[in-house]
Amino acid sequence: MQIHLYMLCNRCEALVASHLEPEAFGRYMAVGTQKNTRGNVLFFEIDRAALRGGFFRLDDIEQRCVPHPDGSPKRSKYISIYRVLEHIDLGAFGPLYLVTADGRVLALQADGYTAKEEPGVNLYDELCPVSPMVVSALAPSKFATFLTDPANPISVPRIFFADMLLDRDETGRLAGYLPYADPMHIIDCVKELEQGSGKPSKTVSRSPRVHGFFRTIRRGFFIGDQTGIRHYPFPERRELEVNHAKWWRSATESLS
Amino acid sequence: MKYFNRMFKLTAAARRRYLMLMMLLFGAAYFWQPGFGQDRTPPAHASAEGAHFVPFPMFAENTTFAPLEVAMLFVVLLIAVAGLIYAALLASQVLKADQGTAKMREIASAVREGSNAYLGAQFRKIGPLILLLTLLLLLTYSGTVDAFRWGRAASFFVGALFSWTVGFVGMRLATTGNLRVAAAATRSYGEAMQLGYRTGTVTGMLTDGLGLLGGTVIFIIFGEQAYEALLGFGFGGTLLALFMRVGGGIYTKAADVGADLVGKIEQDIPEDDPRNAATIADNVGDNVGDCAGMSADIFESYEVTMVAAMILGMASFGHIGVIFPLLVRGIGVLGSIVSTYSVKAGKEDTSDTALHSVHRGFWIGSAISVTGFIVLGFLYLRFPGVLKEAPAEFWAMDPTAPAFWANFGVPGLDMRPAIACFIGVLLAIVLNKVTSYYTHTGHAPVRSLARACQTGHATNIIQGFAVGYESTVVTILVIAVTILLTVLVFAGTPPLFVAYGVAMVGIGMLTLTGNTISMDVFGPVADNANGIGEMGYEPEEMERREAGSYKRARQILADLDAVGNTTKAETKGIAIGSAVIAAVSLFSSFIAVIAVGSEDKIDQMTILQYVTEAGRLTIADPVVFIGFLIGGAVPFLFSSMLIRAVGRAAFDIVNECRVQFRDPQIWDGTKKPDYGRVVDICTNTAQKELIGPGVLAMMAPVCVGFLLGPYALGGFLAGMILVGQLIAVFMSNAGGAWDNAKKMIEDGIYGGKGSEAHKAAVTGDTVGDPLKDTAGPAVNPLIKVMNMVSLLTLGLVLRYNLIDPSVGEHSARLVGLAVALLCAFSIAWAVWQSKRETPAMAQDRAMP
Repeated sequence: MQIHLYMLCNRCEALVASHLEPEAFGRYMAVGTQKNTRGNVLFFEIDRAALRGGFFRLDDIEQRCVPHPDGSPKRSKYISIYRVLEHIDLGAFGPLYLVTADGRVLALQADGYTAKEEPGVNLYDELCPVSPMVVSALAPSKFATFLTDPANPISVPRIFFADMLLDRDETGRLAGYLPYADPMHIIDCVKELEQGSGKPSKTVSRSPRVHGFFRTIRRGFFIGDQTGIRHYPFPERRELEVNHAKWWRSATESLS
Repeated sequence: MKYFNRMFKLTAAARRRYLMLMMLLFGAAYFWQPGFGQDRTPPAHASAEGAHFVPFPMFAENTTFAPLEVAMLFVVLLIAVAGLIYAALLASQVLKADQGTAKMREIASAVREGSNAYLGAQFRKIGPLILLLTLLLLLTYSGTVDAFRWGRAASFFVGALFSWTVGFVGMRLATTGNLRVAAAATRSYGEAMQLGYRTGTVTGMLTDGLGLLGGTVIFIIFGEQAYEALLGFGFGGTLLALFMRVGGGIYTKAADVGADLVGKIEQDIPEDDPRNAATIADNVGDNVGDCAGMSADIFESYEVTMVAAMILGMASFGHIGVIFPLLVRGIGVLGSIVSTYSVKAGKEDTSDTALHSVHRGFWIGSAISVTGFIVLGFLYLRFPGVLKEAPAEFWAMDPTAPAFWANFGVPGLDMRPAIACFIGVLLAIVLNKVTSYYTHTGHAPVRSLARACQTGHATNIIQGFAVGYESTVVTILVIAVTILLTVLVFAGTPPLFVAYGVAMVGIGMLTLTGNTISMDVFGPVADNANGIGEMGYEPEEMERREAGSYKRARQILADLDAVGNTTKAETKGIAIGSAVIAAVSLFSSFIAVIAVGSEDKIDQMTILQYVTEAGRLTIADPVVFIGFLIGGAVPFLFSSMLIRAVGRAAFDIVNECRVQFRDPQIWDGTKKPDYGRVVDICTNTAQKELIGPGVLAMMAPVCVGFLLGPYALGGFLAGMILVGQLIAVFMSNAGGAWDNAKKMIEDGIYGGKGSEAHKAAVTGDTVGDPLKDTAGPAVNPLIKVMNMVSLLTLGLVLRYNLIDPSVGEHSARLVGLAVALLCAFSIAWAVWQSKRETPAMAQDRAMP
């Protein structure tokens, strides 16, 4: 059986080996075999050949990740669970898989990030290795560069984050369909940046719980550091409704 | 008690013996000298020899029917048949429509099979009971004319059969139409909308046609005394409606709550997800609850208002008073045919324009009906000297010369019954508006609920209670104003005429039964079609054939679902309002029967007798007050039994779904769940659970009547009508408001789907579900069943009861006591049954 490497990047940061194909792995991670787990899952498929350096113990992976005695595939063998993101080369990150709470999987392919970065305030949900929600006057690539700059008193080696919707109604308040926990606070933070407080970013929440997470995604997901940025664009709504109807319905209808 | 025991040094056993002895002594004393020192002189009954029967009286030699009246009755018969033919034509249109893909047909077939299985099982369960009751009616008839004995029993059977037919055919058509609507949505909005509405119209016209046909045929056979047989016809329809409402209500909500609990809450999957084993049962539930239950419910209101109008018409306006309601109904059927056919939607219509078209149909029907019965009234309501003789003090005016607005100066003309019908149409419209105000997303009450969701689950529940309570007050005020208007219209006449006026309000209110049921059934048809679209559409294939077609079709189905939700909610107000008006009219009939001793002597009743007996029904009499209190409590007990039943059934469904979800193949979507098992659980549980509430509905009035006498039974009915109306409106409107508050949030306010506010809204909706779809609607037939049982047993109650038997013998008291005890034991058994645990629950409790 072929061994795949996956990097889990929410709930916990981990590199996992598995015999399961991405879709089956995603379903397994979302709901488990006894259906006792629940919640959205995000993971990357990792290109083993592109992994450089010796941080991860992969040479004996074939001995460790073996099928069960009954012949069924090994669903997960954890390789590493700490500081994983920073030790995987940007080039080794394959498709990003978004798994809904009931196990529907959507694959996103990375593209060269060419979007025109418009001025204005953005809302980012940092997903790995830290997880606050922030508003930022910086565009995604600048935000990644800023946050991974070792010259900053606070930085991380690499950051994986989602660009979130920040739609506002005619009165300037957050649009009613956005499920954020404290919309007034978000708007206050946005106003603070708009009024020129001098800060590039402001933390909205240290431990955000975004219900209906997938329907709040704007341009997509980003993974970046000082060397560059990879963008996983989120499909247009029409494409989701037509070509990924089951996933989209699951993503928008579930309560979590 | 402590001092008492110490003083007499009594052991526990001695104390029990002493209490037993005292009970026996009081009982004996009570038998010997009943009452509370009040005058309980039995009513001055008319002589027994007055009643006789001539079959087909309009063809008898010295008939009182004018040739024109006979002709009009046959025209009404033809209209009834025309209504049925119209229904058959629409049904064939629906059946001929495109049925979509094989996958869609497979899903629709599962829903249809489940629905058929449910009604089949119900028929097998209730069938023997109906036969038994037919026999019982035959044996317990307290009148003197054998033809009425047989006529009533046979009519009961036919009424039950018609009610079941309306429910069965309606549901069958709905489960056929839903597939066609889903298929039509892939082509155009207008076609899907029209098919859905016409599917509902088949049921509506079937109700209209069968109701009118039954009433007219019975009238042709029995003439002016048709109410004798119609009582049986109405009771048959009412009883079946109760069972259909109760069974359907339990089924639909058990399946819905079960599906939601496991699907949405536990497994986090969307509604109608094919992996959920309860999905098909949920769709079946929409049909058995909203199609079969509602159709049977309206059918029985249709009949019961006719029964009340005929009894009171005979006692007040005589011959013409009996025929007029039938003629009005005929006009109503005509109005429904024209107006339902006028409901159309264009290719590019939206939910707003479609709703406008449905409402326009209702207005057209109202206009036709009002014009029709005003013209009919002008031509037919002539009473040259036929109004009942009455002591002058009861008439504040000359009975043969009403005010100008009531007869336009034409001697002998009295338009007041027609005006009462007009008030009935107005009542239907106003109740629609009130229900819409409290349950529609466009108005403040539902908005306030949605807002309350932002602060949590509890505030949503609290606000829902407030909205529900307020709505019930407004509804009862509307009904009170309606009755007041009738009183004003009949000002100066004795109360019996006012009672007839109220009955005619009921006749007017249900004139557009065809439209009302079309609007109601359209709801579950659109809902099911949406489910079929969700499970049965193949997006990739549809998009390959025509870009954008999948999204457009889903949008059409979602819009239709929204229109269906609105129309369904609006008709609930009419169902409850009609139940109350019918019950008030029946209550007047009840007094009329007490006044003369049995219903076969109604035509001999004097106004003095009616007024005297009505005056004795006062809560100043403790026995009447006791009846009033018990009557007021019964709707609560009934609702409690139903809500518990839903919880119990949902528990079993949750367990079954959990077991099926453990199968990884089902979870992967590579294996179909066993939908049939959940359908079976729902079917069996709903059948089991309807016995208890059914026993309560039938036995409670009998128990009170035989134990405390006819006046207490009158008090019982009054309390039950008042509280039943209040609780039914509260449950329906609060539940509807919670449901729509959730929909509002899902449409994108306060964070939309998945937000904290949404979770609070889901809690409100779950709480409201068994209220609005199980207990609330079932209270309507409960009110009428209890009224009908009281009316039917009143002759026996007058003779045999513990307090005041008309025959005045001790054996009559003993019979009364024995029957009352039997009923009390039956009710106790029913309550005990409603509290028992299912085997799965008991097993669950036994686990450490």
